[in-house]
Amino acid sequence: MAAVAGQLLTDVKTLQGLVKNVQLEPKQIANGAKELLDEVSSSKITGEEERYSHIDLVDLAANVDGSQTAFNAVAPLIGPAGPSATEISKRFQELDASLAAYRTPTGFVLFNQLTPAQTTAIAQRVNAIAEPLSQVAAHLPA
Amino acid sequence: MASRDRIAVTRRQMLGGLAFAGAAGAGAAVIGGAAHARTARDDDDIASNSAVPFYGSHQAGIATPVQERLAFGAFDVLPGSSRADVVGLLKEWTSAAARLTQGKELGTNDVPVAPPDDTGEALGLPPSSLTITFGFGPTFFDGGGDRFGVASRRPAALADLPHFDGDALDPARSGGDIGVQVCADDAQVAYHALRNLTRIGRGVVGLRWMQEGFGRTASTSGAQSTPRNLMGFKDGTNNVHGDDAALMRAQVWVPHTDKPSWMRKGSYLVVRRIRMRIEVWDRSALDDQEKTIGRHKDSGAALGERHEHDPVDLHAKHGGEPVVPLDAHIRLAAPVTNHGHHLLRRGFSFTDGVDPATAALDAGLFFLAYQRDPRKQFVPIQHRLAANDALNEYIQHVASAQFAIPPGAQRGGWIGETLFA
Repeated sequence: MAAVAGQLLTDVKTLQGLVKNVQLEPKQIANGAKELLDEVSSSKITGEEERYSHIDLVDLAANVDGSQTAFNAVAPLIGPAGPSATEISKRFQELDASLAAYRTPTGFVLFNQLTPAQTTAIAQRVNAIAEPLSQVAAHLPA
Repeated sequence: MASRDRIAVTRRQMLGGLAFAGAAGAGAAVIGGAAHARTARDDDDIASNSAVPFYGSHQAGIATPVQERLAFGAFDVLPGSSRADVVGLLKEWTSAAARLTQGKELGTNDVPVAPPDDTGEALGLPPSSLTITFGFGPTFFDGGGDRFGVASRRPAALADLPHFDGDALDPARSGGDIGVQVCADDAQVAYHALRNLTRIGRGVVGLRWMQEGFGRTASTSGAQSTPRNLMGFKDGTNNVHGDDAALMRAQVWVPHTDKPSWMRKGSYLVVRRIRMRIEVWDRSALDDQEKTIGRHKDSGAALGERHEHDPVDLHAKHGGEPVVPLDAHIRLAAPVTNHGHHLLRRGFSFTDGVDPATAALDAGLFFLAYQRDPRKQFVPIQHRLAANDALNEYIQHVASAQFAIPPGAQRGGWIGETLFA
């Protein structure tokens, strides 16, 4: 397994280097932010991606972090008729706060320990961000 | 794209026709789009392509002749949403409902890099008598504290419903901060409206439960024929009719003498999901079925009468026994048994597949009843039914909700404005 792990680490570092040189349009970044949340809605909040380890919340939180980072990059460029960046930021903060309740010293509680009411609450907060976020790209410079 | 363009043209043509009909028929309760053929059942008065005015002193969807289809949504306001968020949503919902009910698309739908504002599945479909009726549940006022500064405005008539004998209520399918009754003659038009209102509400409210219904189980117009419920019986023969102004004033609309004043011209809605024990009912003898209901199954006439609308004689006896049994449903539900109190029933049949534990059909009546004061109308009537009705052998109330239905909005106003004034 050591050889496989070593190769994986090498590949990740190569990828890290390549990503730094990718040129992206603002619209692509905005849509990327939305798509990260779409993944959460479609297959992470359902607990199906980590069917055996149940560490779905780690994945989920990483998607949210990525989405928020991408959104922050384009937020200053949103045109006056576009969705409110302040409102979207506020909703990200509310989602962060609700996820923080499930943090443990080493990560997050296991997904199968959440009640349906708790997963529903997270799913609704994700949709609350993704809906206005989906309108951002149309209000960015080309 | 070509087919979509074609559909859009169809919809514009239809709207042109409506504008004309609207001008000609101003003031009528229902405006008919006369140029278009009916597409739904043509056995009664409902023109499925007609548009019902949204704005008015009362909300539409109460006195409106009952449509064929229901999509009912109960929403909870999400934690962290403020009074301003809720008011903003009510304004958005009002303007969306005003457009949807007239068969118009929502928002902007032609920006290639943006998701369309309207989800699109109603494009090309006529307004289909769509009505959207909004109400506030008890928890909206004081559930989880005074979230929106309206706790003191909760109507006394919106008291929590008591437990009734036989209730087996599922909390996940009951209650809700805001209730939205969507009715139309086309299931897709109804679902489209509720779906788009849900989308607009994301971030402020979330669906708690929803129920689709089919086959209206009551008539609310003298011109409508009486439909049958899933028990096969005519239901709602003696219902309150929306065009009976005196009875509507006395039994359905909140008058100016009632408090709180923000509810004047509104009403109260009680919702009950009533599961029928279909298998047991289906194997009961015709005679038992008729004695349980108190009507003849075929004609709909009360027992001992010949025609559906013959007056019911609750005093009639045959061989010393009451012709309409003492525990028959129509006897116990009759206004004469209930101090003259009526309910405007606007229910629909429902089916939600099979019960996984028993393979029994999960079906029944989604009961919707409008009234001036549930404390004097639904509650005492239901206590009497729950204690004595022969029908209880075949039904069970499995979910419950109630909503204060505010008055209608005028153009430029919004639903709920009187509550937040």
